[in-house]
Amino acid sequence: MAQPLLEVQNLNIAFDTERGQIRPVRDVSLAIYPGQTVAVVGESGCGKSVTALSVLRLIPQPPGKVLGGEIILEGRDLLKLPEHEMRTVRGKDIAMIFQEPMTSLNPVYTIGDQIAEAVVLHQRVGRREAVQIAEQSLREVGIADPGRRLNEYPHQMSGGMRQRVMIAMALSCKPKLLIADEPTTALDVTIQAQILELLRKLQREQGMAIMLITHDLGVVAENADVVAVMYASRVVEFAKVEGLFDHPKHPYTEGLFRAVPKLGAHSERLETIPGTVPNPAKFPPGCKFHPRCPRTRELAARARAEDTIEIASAGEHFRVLRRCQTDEPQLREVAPMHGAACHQIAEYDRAAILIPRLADKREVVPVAIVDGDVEAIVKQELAT
Amino acid sequence: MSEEATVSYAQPHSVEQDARAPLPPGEPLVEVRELRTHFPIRKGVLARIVGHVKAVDGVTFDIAPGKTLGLVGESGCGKTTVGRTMLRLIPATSGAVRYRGRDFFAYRGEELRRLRRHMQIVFQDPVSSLNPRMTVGNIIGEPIEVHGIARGKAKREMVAGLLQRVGLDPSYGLRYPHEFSGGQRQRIGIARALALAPDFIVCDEPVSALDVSIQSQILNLLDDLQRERNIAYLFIAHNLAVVEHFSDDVAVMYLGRIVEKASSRELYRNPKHPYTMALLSAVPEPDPRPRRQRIVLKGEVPSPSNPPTGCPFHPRCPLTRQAASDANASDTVEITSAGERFRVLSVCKNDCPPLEQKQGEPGHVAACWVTK
Amino acid sequence: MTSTTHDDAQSLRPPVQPGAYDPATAVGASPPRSLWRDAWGRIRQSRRAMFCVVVLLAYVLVGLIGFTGVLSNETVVDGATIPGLIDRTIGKSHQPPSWTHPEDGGISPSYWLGLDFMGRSVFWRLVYGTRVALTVALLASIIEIVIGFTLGAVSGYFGGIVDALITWLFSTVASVPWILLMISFAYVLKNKTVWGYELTGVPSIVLALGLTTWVGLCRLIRGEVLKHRDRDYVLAARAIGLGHGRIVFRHILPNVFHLVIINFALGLAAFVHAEVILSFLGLGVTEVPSWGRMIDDAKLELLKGVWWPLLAATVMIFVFSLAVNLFGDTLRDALDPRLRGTD
Repeated sequence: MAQPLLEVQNLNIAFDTERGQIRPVRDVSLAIYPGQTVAVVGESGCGKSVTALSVLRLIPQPPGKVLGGEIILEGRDLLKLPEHEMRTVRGKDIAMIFQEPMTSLNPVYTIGDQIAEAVVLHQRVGRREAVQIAEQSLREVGIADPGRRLNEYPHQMSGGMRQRVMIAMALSCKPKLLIADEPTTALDVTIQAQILELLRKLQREQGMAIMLITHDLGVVAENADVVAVMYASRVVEFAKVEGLFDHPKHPYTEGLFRAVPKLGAHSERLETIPGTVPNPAKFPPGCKFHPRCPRTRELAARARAEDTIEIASAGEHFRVLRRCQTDEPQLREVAPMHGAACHQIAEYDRAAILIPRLADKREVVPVAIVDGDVEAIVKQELAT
Repeated sequence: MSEEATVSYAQPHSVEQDARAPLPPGEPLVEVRELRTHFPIRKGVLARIVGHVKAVDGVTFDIAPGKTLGLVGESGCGKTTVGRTMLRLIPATSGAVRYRGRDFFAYRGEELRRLRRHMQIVFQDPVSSLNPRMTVGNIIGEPIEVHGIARGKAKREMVAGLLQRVGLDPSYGLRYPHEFSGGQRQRIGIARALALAPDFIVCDEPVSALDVSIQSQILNLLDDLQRERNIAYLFIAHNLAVVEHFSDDVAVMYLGRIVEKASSRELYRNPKHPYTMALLSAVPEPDPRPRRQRIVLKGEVPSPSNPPTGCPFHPRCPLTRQAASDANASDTVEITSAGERFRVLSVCKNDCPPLEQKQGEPGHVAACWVTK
Repeated sequence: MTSTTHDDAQSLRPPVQPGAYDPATAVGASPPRSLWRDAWGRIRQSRRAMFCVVVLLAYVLVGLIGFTGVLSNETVVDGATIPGLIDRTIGKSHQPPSWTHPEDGGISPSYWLGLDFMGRSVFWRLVYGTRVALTVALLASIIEIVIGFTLGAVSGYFGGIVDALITWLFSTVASVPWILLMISFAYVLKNKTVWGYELTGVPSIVLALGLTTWVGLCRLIRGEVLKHRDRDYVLAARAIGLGHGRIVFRHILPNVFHLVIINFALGLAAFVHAEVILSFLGLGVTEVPSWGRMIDDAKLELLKGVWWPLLAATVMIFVFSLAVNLFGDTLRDALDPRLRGTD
């Protein structure tokens, strides 16, 4: 098996806040292989963005600090690099695009200046050549008339166009890894489809790896090779995308899948996960999901009273299994190449700790059509 | 229209009296007719008006009591403006909104205030929609007090009841909005809207700012309230799956107009407008082996200050391009869009298509020259 | 292990509030936290700010001595009228500071800061000057806030022609150099009587300062109200059917009031300085001692080696300004939600 491009091992990050220390990332491990897309999925405050930022060492310190762990990019531990070497890693080896393209672009420079600046910094080329590279990268991300666009300012462009510029800027130095933090969340669906298609195309052509941070399960399903589900600062499930969607193991992942309305499903009522997304300042003890977990509740109803414990959550009182309330489960390999952190999976006690490394690629790559008999295709596809 | 206004002036209390009365069957609760909201664009030192952003440009629909009309479209299509104009939070340029047959736009002062009781709104942003300096109890209690429904202890009891109904602990009335999570704040916003016992609520993207696991809680809550209290919703959203799940009928907006309207099942099964087709196809499926091919539209939504001539969708429309390649050259015209030159049907470029009945369920209307 | 479990179990059972686990919020454990309460908690955490509060309270106490009249009231002893402590000649002119009374040798505050050119106690004049400074600063602030806040709120909330008029007014006032404006105000108001009340001295300074300084606050409030006017919570209030008055006063005002407080705190020092400058220019307080007048009186004496009246007044102003500014900065950090990440 090939070596991973990036390997995060037991990363622990803490932030000092007014009300004490919080731990937005706890024991997070994941690996990304060349040309692979690894999605990190989770809800607000689950630590997915902090994990991404810490790979680039962009966590403000203080208040943030790394308590432990390694981030290894091609054999080098990024956490140990001096700052000036880290600067060459950023942009050249690893590039990042953000959710809000307006705030990530500097409003007082033309986009040509901004892309060229990055190129000059990392590629040792002259100014004129840098502008040419900038123009070429704009063309690659599908911007019409790139020569004219180079001289425009960010506010003259629409949200989708700005996200394309951000991608052009990130890719101008041909990074090995692109970290995309909610790249389409601020965009409309039709523009989202364009941007995701563009990322897939660029990945095919340039072979870069993508770390895709998102909360949208649809985006995950269509783009990821491997998925890490995060909840309360930890990875609670790690699997190939097909494995995860076919047989989710963790009750949180399961609940998420059921709670999202599906187009054309015509369900009368949505299933819900009770309670609220936990805030790192106030994590519950034991398994961080137990106050919201339907599985432990159901099992507790049938278990002996001494194995259960009564808790209160979201205005309700109910019993959960004592073990869920006291022990935090580890990520274990509960099925071949499928890790989950839940005591109440049959295989959990026998399974070994999982080191989250999966070099697999997805089976089916979504196909986009731009022209052709649209109406007929829509009819046919929707009929099935 | 003006006649009705006179009638309502003559009988200022009649609104109160028959607001609770059941409507005759088949009668809509809310009717919107040819609603237009244009914002002036000012330029220069003298702030002269140089043009208009036609945020809403002739929108017509009905909502039956206890039913939900979903309004979908991308950012800038005017869906939010429709909701706000209907409640007179933004002045309308022209058109009419009728509530139980009464012209809502004709009311003034005290009568308007009384009528507002029946039409409420839930906002998208759970942070900015609650006053950070007021306690939750005051936020929910204020409408009750201002409309003279209850005071003192009775009011507090009503507030506690509302909090309980939306799934919050009654003791939370003493707390401030910033102490709550997004989903809880949205519940508070719903409780405020419910305080006046309205029978129509505009839900302006009520779940799009919430976490995935919280969205379904709020949708189910809105659903329960509708059944329980026979509330009609205008459900504004950009997420098609959510709209399809939640609505009885769905209207699709593009550049200030409704381009297609049908029952939610019909719209999904049998889309007639190419924009609806593209929207449906663009929603990523939560399935790693997608069966559908993706239609990726070219270009971006044009600015509503300078919309294209004719059918506003023609520069991005895959159907007219395809139809043009089969048609006589004399019926087509070449245009440039998103850096490309191609031919479209002349009729699409020159004339705006009307909303008309298409093949399918009765009431399935779409504005397209190409589809039948 | 077992015991901790037991503890946890205890803590999770009723009577613990339901929602003790709603982890996204602090709900359940702590008492309700209004933003004001949060801000006060934050100020109390800052030792520097609390020290400043103590210093400022000391200034207020000193100022109150001036109000009691013990320093200024004339007394009649044996049929002869003796002026109050601030105007009484109690020794030779330019007597240097000493802890003790020059004749009987007892401790006497009157001599602590020496005597001025007329043999008057610098100490007592300084104490009385505190009263003048605080009066001027407070009253001028009130005028500033009333005008600035009202015009700013009206202008921002209603917009349109009202906004255009008010913007024009404050742009005009702001385009005249403030010192010039203040001098002319002071000249116009000098020796005028309104309803039989003489506008000389403190009232003239208060009016001149109040009427010239509202522009900054007005602009600030206008901008802030403009921002809040389109927030969803204001739309929600309109959807409920609230009137403009109630929306402005019950909803928007509490959300911009922290700016008034910050402005007030930081403005105090500016007003004290302005009083000093006006008095120094001879346009301000003339009949009673003020810090500005003391500096004015003492400026020429410095050449004669008489440093104490000047130093005393300057230190008094410096400490006051420093305390106000340090406290104001903490106050701003504590109150301004922009600096604390909207939660």
